[in-house]
Amino acid sequence: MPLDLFGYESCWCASRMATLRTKFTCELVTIWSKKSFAQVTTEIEALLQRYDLAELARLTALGDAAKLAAFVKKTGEPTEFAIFFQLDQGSTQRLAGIPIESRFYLFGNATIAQGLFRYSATAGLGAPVRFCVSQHDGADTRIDIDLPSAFFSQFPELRESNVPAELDARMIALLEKIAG
Amino acid sequence: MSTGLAKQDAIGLGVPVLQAMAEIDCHRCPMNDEDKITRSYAVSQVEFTVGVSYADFTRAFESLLGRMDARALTDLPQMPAEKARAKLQTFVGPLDFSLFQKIDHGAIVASLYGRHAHAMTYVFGNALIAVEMTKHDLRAGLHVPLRLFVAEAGDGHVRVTYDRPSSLIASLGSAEANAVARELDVKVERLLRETVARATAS
Repeated sequence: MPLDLFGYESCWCASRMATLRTKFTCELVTIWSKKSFAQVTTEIEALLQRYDLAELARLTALGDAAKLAAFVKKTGEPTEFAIFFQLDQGSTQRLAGIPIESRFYLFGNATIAQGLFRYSATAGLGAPVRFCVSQHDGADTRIDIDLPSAFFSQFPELRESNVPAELDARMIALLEKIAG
Repeated sequence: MSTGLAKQDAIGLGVPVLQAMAEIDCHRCPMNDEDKITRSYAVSQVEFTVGVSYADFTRAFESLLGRMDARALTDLPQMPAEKARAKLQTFVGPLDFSLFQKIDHGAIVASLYGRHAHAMTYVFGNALIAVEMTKHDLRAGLHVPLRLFVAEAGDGHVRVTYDRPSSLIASLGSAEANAVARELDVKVERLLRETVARATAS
C-alpha cells in the first residue's frame, strides 16, 4: 500500500493525494542596529503604512482593478511596501521569564507580488515577506529576514522572475537604512 | 504520532536527516561586515495535492483553528504568568492552533487581472509553543507563527504547501528548540490530516 502524506500506510486518502518534498537552501540575513528595539520598530511603523485588510477584501470583492491598484499604491507610500500583519512576541517571551523584545512583521506590496504569481501561484507561501525585530535586554537590536531570492528558490518556476532579486535589493536596503 | 515520525525516518525526512541538513554556512557580508550577517540553511518544503474542493478544505482548516486576538498580547505583561497562559490557551482550537491572519491572494489576482483564482496564505500557530522555541533562540521568532499556502489545483483538488517547521528551526542549532519544532511538525501533520478528513466528509 502506498504511503500517504505523512508516511502512514492508511487508505483514507492515499489514492487521492500526491506529496512532493523539496529541499532548498535559504539565507537568513541578520542586520544589527545600535538603536533600541523601540526606536527601530517606531521607525518601521512610521515609514511603512499598514494595510487595512478589511478594505483590501472589500475592494477585491468589488473587482475594481483601478480602485484596488490605487489603494495599494497609496498604502505603499512612500516606499511601495506596507505591513500586512505584525505580532508582538515579547509579551509572551516575558511569560517564560526571558527579558526580550520581539516583533514579527509581514510586509510587501500586493501588486509587486503579482510578478511572482505570474510564474508560480505557490509563491504565496512567501508573500508577504516576513521579518522579525528583536532585542535582548542590554544587547543590540537585530532584524532577521530570509533573503527573498533564497526563500523563493524553493519554487523553480520563479527563476524567470526578476521580482525576488528586486525584493532583495529593496527590502534589505530599507531595513539597513532603518537600522543605521 | 511517534509511528508517523518513525515512518518519516524510513523515507528520509526524519530527525537525524534534518539535523544533518542544519549545517550552517555563516559568513559576514562583504558589504558591511560589522552590521550584517548572512547564514545559509537547508529547508524542507512539503507540498501535497488532495482531491477535495478548495472551499471544503479551507472551511475545514479554519474550523479547526481558534482565533488569535493579537491585541490581547499587549495586556499580557500586566498579568500573572498563569493567568496570561490561561488567556493564550483560550485562543487555540481543538488541535492546539490559532489563526493569526489570512491573506486572500486569489481575490487580489482575480480583482487586478480578472483571472479566476482561489489561493490563500494562512498565518497560524500557538503562542505558547512558540515561546518554548524563542526562549532558546530569538531567531525562531522569524519562523513562528507558521505559514501555509492553499491553492485550487483544478478538477476538485487543492494544493497545500508549507515549510516543515523542524527544518526552519534546525538551522538555529538549539537542541531544545529542535525538540519543540519536531513536536510542532507532528501537530501540523495532525491538523492537516484532520482537515482533509473533515473536508472529505463534508
